[in-house]
Amino acid sequence: MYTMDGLIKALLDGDRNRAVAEAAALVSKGVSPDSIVLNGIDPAMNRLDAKCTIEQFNLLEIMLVGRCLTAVITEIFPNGIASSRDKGTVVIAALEGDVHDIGKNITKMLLASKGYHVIDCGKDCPVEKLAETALNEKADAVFVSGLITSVIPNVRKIKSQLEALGIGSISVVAGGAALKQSTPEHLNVDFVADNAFEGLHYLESKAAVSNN
Amino acid sequence: MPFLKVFIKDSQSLVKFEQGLTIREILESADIRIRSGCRGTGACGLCKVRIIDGNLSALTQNEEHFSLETDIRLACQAVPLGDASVEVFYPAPESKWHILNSRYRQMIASSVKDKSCRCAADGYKVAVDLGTTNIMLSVLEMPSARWIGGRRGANPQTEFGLDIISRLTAASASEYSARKQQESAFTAISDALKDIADREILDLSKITNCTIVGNTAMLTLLAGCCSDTLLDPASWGCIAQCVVSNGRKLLVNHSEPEHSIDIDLVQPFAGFVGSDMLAGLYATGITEFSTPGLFIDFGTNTEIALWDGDTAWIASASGGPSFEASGISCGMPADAGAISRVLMPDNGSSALGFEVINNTEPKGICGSGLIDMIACLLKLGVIDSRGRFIAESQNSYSLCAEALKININPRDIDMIQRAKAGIAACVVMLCRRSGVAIGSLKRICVAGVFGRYLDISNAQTIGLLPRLDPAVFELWENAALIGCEMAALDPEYRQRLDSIRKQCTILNMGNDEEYEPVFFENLYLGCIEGMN
Repeated sequence: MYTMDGLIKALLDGDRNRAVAEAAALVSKGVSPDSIVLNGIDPAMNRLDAKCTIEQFNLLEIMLVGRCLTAVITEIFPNGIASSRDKGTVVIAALEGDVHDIGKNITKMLLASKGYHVIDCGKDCPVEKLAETALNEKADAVFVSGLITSVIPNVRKIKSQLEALGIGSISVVAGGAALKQSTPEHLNVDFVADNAFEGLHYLESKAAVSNN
Repeated sequence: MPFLKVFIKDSQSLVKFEQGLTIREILESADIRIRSGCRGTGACGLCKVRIIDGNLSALTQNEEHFSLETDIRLACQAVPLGDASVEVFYPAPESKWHILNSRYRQMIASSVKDKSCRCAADGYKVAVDLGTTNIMLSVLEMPSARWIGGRRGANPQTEFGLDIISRLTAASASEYSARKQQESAFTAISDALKDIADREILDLSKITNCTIVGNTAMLTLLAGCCSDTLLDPASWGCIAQCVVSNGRKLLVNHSEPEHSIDIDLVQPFAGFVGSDMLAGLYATGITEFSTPGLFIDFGTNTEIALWDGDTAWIASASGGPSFEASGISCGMPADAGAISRVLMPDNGSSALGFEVINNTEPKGICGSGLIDMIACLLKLGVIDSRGRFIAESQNSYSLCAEALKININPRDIDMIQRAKAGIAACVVMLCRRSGVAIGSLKRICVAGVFGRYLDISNAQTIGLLPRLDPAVFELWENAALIGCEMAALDPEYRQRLDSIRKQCTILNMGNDEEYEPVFFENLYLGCIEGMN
């Protein structure tokens, strides 16, 4: 018998070493990586999500948990997380002028752990490259994260780049310390996410609407 | 320091003061206006107050001239010798312009005396620090360089956006918005000058010129040029030229258009680093020493310069406006009614103590109060170094027991953590890139309104400022305005600022891979992390 409680607690505490050890122990007991995602990571993320919604989690804790989540996923999926395009494809980047990607990586991990197919354009990514990737990958949404306010002018260009390629209907979601204080109108995007979970909820709500 | 208790109609305030000031000066230090028809020379007799209690200086000749009743004095003449209570009969109408206080005035007097050449011409000179949130200005009498008065008020451009990027975007999208923003800044400057003219009895037509410093975005909007260029990241390394279009002049009195005032925009450095930063370096004189020093100008955009003896390394911190308590649930600017200091509980008590500006009913908490409060909660073990309440059931902390509660919640703490991490990470990166060891800093100049009430030790406790000997810290309330006044008075200021320009280098944190991990480590409440 095994329990995921230790992993869940370590994830929520943002304790990277303990979380990785818990995950490794589960793998060595023969627990499948998919089961760890479903019964360990998923419940932990849902608890974190609930706390974020009532504003009891701060940026530091989200970053600690994100770092921890990344380490656990790398541990259980050494060859990368498998995903299908069924649930949807998201292209994600930190735009040109910003080389900081912890926030972007946390969002990527969260979306991947929820079954989205995530294509990472990396950091310091030109808007043109982001738009072309979205076109080539037939993306459902584009996510950008920004830590530095000076990246805002580039965020505002995304919509027009997508429109120029004939894919102006793709959702554009912005998040990160520099962007979360702005409005969607100001950034010229569809949604501004206060944290990675809000971005996820937005995707889910869009999917729910289009399925109906 | 002694207290002056002030009764005006139904309200009362308690103002702490330095001995030797007149009642009028004490009132002005607390931004309380008393009616007056002269500059406080004792000539008009309008500033009568009733002395309820306390010992005061002897009647002056001017007062004797008015044959006052025994308990009546002129506020501009009487000097309290200790605690006193007075009743103000004729308060002046409220204004949206706050009077710059006397402490600030003394600082100016000494800087100007030390550093500036005096001009010979008569008239008045105006110095303006055009900030994103606040406009500050002062008027100097020539040729004496005597400080006549100063004002602080809100920048009306906030209507077009709280931050510079939204204002620039609005201006580049519509000519109408660009013109409105330009006009509103000019109008605000004239309004403030009229306010000084009404109160300090100033002939506006004698103002000869107006020197303006500000961040690049504010100067760009004022000049009505190149807001597009500034939005393009490719231009951030370039020198922005801000020249007021069509030789435009400042008009303070529309009925007398011939009395327009020449405007001198002090050119920004480059990118978003404006002439406010250059003026701050000029005022503090940090670049005149061979020893390392640090200059932090707290504002909506916090700019930091590290002087290594040869070069000033400059960076902007993405702090956001939370040090001005904007976006904080019970936040307010550092005006009357703001909790400016929070103190550890007295022996035997469990409640935190606090001080309110002017000792009125507390209405909110300002930036310095927030820093104190978070430091106290950390020391008391109410929150942990992650900024989280330790008791699981707790999700806010209330400062006042009275009906009017001042609360702090996890979101407020989070905002301060982010803001202070941005500052600390910039300081660490500047030290790393310049090779200056933090311990070798001989001067740390803290500028910005936020600095006025800041407790250095609490700022060190949460990791906003480096933990160094308190003696190296200097609080400069508005270094940029002081530098601007020096420029206004100094015919050779361009050469002086140019030599500072040559020594400045901008570091863009957006391109530095090491910035983010350092920012992350500094989200913790505790000593600044990552120092060499």
